[in-house]
Amino acid sequence: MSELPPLLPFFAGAILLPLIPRAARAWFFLLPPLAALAMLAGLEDGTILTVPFAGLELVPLRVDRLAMVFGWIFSIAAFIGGVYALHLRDTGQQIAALLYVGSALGAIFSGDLFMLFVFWEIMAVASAYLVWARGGSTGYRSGMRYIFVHLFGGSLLLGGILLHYGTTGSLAFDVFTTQTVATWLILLGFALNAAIPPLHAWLADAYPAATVTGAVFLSAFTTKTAVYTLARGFPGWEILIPVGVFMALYGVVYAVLADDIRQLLAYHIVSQVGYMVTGVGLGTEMGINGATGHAFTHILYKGLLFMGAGAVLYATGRSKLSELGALGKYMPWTVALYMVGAFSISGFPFFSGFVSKAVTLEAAELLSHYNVAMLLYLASIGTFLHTGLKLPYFTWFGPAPEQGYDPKPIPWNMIAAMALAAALNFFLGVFPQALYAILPYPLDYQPYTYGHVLHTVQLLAFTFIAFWLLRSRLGGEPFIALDTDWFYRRPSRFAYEAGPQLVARAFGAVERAAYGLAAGIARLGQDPVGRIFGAPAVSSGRGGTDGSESRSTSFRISLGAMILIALACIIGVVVVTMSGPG
Amino acid sequence: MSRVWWILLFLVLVGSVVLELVRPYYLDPQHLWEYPTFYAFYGFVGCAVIVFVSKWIGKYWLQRPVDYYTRHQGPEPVRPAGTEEGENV
Repeated sequence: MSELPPLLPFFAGAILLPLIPRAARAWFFLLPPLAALAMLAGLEDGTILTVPFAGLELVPLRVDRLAMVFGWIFSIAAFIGGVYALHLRDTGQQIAALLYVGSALGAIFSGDLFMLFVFWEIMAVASAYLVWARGGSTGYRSGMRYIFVHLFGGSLLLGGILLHYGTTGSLAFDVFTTQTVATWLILLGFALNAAIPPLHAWLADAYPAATVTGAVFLSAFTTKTAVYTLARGFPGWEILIPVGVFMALYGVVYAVLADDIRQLLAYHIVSQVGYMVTGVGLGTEMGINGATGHAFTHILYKGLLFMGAGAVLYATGRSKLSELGALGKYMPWTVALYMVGAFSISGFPFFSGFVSKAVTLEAAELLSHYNVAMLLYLASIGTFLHTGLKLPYFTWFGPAPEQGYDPKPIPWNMIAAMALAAALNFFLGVFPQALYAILPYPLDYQPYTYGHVLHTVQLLAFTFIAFWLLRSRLGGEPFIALDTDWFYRRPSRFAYEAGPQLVARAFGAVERAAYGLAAGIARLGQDPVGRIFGAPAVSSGRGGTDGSESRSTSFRISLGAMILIALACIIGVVVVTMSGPG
Repeated sequence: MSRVWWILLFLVLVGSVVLELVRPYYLDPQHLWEYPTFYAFYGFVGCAVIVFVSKWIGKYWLQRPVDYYTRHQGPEPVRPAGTEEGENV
């Protein structure tokens, strides 16, 4: 049995990729995920690999059922993302994506906080590249904000880890049972990556700005790694229950206001991660199962949705609802496969979201948190409203935009990747026990009960009726909605004035003063006698009549006088020295 | 949508409501949500509430022109190598 961390194929792939012929690199990208899947199959539950390093016992590999769920889905998502990106000829993005997936897997299988932190930071940098690779001012600026926010989150995490190590002497990454400054800092670091408001704005800012293929990768790994770390470190922390419910509804409200289709989907990541955070907060075996199961299906359907939205952007160069509409006839396959993702996220019976959401809701109801369950149902309504109705209606159906289309054909591999994800979503919806079997705790649960199916059908069907009646109010509007990134984007103007601009102005003032001084000295040198003793500049009267000529003449005269004075001084010194005693 | 879809939808709507009225899931309702057809109302009202509340928040608080952040931004930054002008998609 192997005892190697499954991140190795990805890191090795990132190193080897530039050595492969350019045209074959996209295909080569598919090998690391397959190798990782093979390695995962060979990992035994309970395996722990320790490596001594600088006096610490590091644990780069810890295998248990919780980590394995994420290991499986991360490798599957990397493979699907690789198929989606087969047409791509961009070595930078391919390497960044490999490092990103590899470090996410590294974080999942880390048994200690030090290794976790290292992979956490590699993830931040590698994923930021997927935003930068879009190019242009928007991509560059978004990527900069993204990396700065994540470095801030990483600092919170590092501070927490150091404090925790200082007080407990342990770097082990297990359940945190005490509430200390250290554990709260660690929780905040995790919360930032899990996009828990108000630390979530990076997500809705950066994901719509990323490349078509980059966004598919981004949607899968960062937030779900954070869900894993929350499930590992903070199960049963009750603060996470209201926080999770708030998240689920927060994303829904902002999705109403979003105009960019990928921003709408990004806000629904916030909403869906809210279910998982709630499940972690519930903390029971059922709750953790719900959180991990929902993370598993979420990666499949959210990736599919981002692939569909990416296909629209690829074909038309547009991503705003206010500029889209009536596009369905150009891309029937994309519409059909996207709808599978939309049905999955909305929790339609026979699609994956139905079977995973049900577990979290059941966990809440078992603990008599009925209000939690009801609010999560409300979030489900919003989810279907946006990703299942508003987005497809105003993108592929609905009124055509003023500006006509000339859509590019969509590469076959993009359709193939969507079909693969759609098939998995459908499979898990029909055979939920396949998912339940790999969850961290044994789960004996049947989602397809008479009441559950009936109530879900009622909920979604009547949501559709309300949508149809209100659809005229739901079209995309060319506005942005302020979010908590206002707190660092708006003051940036003043920070720019107070920082770089202030320094630039100070440099300017000093520069002007120096030039002024130099000019003064130069003027003095032209006519020292006249300047010092107040005598007017002597004009020789020879040569031309312009001022420069007369000044240079007067300068020559005073120079001769100065040489005479200097000679007299030297002679005087020599005489005094030689006539002295001895 | 075509007529077939509307008929199917109508059947689902009426069917799901009638089915629960005929054969309730909760035989002895204790909470509001245990009464038959609660979820149909919840879906309809919840959707309307989400739309109106969100639009209201957007209109009176959150929505700004698209160039809200960009109109005052500083000069174009120095680009790192490899991120040339123009957007890739």
